[in-house]
Amino acid sequence: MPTRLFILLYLLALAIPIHAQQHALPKETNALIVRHIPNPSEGYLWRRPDKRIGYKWPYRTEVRNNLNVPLQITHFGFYCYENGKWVLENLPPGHLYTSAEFFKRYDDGDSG
Amino acid sequence: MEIQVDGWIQAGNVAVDAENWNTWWPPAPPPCKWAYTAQDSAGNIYHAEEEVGLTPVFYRFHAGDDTAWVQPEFDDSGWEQIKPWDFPEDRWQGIGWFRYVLQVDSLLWHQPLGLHIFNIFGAVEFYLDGKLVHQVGKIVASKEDEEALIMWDPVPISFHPPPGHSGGKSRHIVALRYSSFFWDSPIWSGQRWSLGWYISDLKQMTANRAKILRRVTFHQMFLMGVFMAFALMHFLLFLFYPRLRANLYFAALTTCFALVVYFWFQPDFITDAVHFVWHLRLRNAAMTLMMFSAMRLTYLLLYPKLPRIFTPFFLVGLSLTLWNWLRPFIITDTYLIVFYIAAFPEILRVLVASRIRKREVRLEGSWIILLGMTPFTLVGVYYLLSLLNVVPLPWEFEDFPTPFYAMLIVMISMSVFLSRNFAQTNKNLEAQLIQVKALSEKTIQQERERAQLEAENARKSQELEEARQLQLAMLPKTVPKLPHLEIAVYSKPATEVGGDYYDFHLDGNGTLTVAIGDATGHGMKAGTLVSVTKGLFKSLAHEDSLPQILQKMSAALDSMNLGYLYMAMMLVKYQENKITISTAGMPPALLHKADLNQVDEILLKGLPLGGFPDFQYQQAEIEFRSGDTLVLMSDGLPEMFNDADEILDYPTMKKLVEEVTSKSPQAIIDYLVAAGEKWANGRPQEDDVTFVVMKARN
Repeated sequence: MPTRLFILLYLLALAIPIHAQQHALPKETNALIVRHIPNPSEGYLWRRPDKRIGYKWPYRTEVRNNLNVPLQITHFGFYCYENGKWVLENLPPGHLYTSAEFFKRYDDGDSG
Repeated sequence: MEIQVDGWIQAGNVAVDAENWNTWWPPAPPPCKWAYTAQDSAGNIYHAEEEVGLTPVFYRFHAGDDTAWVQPEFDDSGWEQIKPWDFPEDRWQGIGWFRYVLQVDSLLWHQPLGLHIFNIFGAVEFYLDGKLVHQVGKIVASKEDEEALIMWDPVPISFHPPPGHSGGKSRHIVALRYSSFFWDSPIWSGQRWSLGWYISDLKQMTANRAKILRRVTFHQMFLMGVFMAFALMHFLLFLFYPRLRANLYFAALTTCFALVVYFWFQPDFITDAVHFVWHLRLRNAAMTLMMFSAMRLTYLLLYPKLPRIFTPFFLVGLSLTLWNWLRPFIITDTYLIVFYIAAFPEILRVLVASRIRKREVRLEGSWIILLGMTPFTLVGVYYLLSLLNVVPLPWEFEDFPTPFYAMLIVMISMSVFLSRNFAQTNKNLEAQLIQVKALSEKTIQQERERAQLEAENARKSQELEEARQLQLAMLPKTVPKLPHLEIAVYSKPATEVGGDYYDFHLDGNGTLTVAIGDATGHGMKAGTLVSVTKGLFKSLAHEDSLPQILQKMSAALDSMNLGYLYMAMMLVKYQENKITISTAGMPPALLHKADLNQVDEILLKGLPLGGFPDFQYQQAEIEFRSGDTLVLMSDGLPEMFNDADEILDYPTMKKLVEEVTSKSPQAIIDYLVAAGEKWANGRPQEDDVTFVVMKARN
């Protein structure tokens, strides 16, 4: 009986996060369409805002709401593939940009 | 349509970040993407992401050497394309070229920029648009002539657009001619070749370099100075007091740590690649020696001899250091660090054990070292956690090398610990010195007393010798010569002044009075008694009655209040074939009658002189004809003890006399003396021995 109880509890423990994840999973639709222009971007030597010199890869990013209802960007971030996994490269480290930061950075409005 | 503050995008609209950009260093970014999560008013969540290609600043490589490859217009499209900072180790032949296309923002044109080329370990020429900007070392075609260098200081570089070019970005060609022959050396096996360069603000680079050098120099000089001061001080303490060997091991430990500090910071000043390797090797060797010294020092706290557990540590540490010496660039570094981390708990174990096993502790006060090691332990754990990205480092190592300063605290604690032990030893020695002084004074006093005693003894001995001479002088130098009587005498005192006495008095009518006596005791008192007795004998010997003579002598001695001194005495008068004997406490005389050929004891009662003045002494008259022999003696020989504590006794004396009655008095005496010596068998004479032997003759 203890063994069965243990298996039951184990399965329950597994089921809880799986159940929660199913609810948390975003809908894989074409609701949002992201585009970078140019892509790929070519780097060049420049002086950064902090006066240091480095390489810069400039591009324009567009995020289109493809639905017929308004969408709110709740969070977003920049990831790079390092050592076999995607690592969030936001600043400060570990911080996911918020909807307020989205509004501040993506201020060009509707490009049509 | 305007985006709301809270990040809403209306249906069908597009939000734009027109000036998005990324930077990466080195200029070969990995795959990157932007990812977004959104939700609608119903709570549905949507996700979208898109990769952005950040084109690496590729460069092209070609092995070999050709001066035409420096030209900006040279077509390198046929060359191998590789990522920045990647090195074609498997295709490398000792010399080769790298070419870059570098686009520069117009804001950087004509600016004083700085160039730094790193990981050279060889020689390099840096060309910008066909012109030599900087050269490190000298490019050669053979390994033997190679002059391998390292570059630390930035050099100036500036970008000028082609004539007529305005605004935007300018395009430049960078060409690197590079030679290095280390790549196939086994010593350099494992080294990640990654020749690289970067351009930055010259002022900033120079300032950074100066800042690094300033800090490194400060830390290097300060820490080395402190550690060498510790080393010198404790080495001198060891020389002054070699028994406290902990000072020697601590001096070795601090010297090793000073070397570690030197080799740790020195690479920032090294420009020769070969020297760089030597510094790497020596740094690790110094660290291993430091660990050995620390362990050896710690073991002194508990163990009189080096414990066996040190052997595996020693062998592993030595092997890893040798391996690292031969291959300094492969993983040996990591193994050594693991070894150091493993050895550290062993040191802690001994320190903690020294707190628990207090009875076995050989050096007191290990709590001081434990206290000093606490910051170092905490710093070490923190650095390990930071290596695992669990905690951040609050500052860069070069800014403040915390482990080294934590180690300084350890060294201070060890120095305090050793100094305390040294002081304790001094205190103990001081206490012992006081004891020794007291003992010395006591010994000196005893010696003084002994010397006084010896002087006193010498004086007394001198007096005794003089007294003995005086006593001997009191004994007759010759024996009386009578026509019908032969006499022989013998007297040997046991001490300087004996108590035995003999004397003769010859009257005008031919009557001979013989006296033989024995004073109680020996030495000066006995000698004094003998002197007095001799005087009494000389004054009384002419009288006829021997008992009266004895009585008068006894009365005279008693009147002198000599205490418990008494005188045994036997008197014999000889006159024409007749002897008269009277005795006062003397052993019996032995008489041999020639006609009967037998020896008889003449035993008369009588108390010694000096104690009982009214005592009535007895007298015996005996015929003494030709051939008869009379042996008078003190109790020295009959009561002589041998080495088995057996007494000779009177019956034996009688037998001895019986054996020699036919001989002369002197021969009888010689025989008896020899028999006595044989009986004593080396045992020292304890009482005076005296004989008077008389023999009647025709």
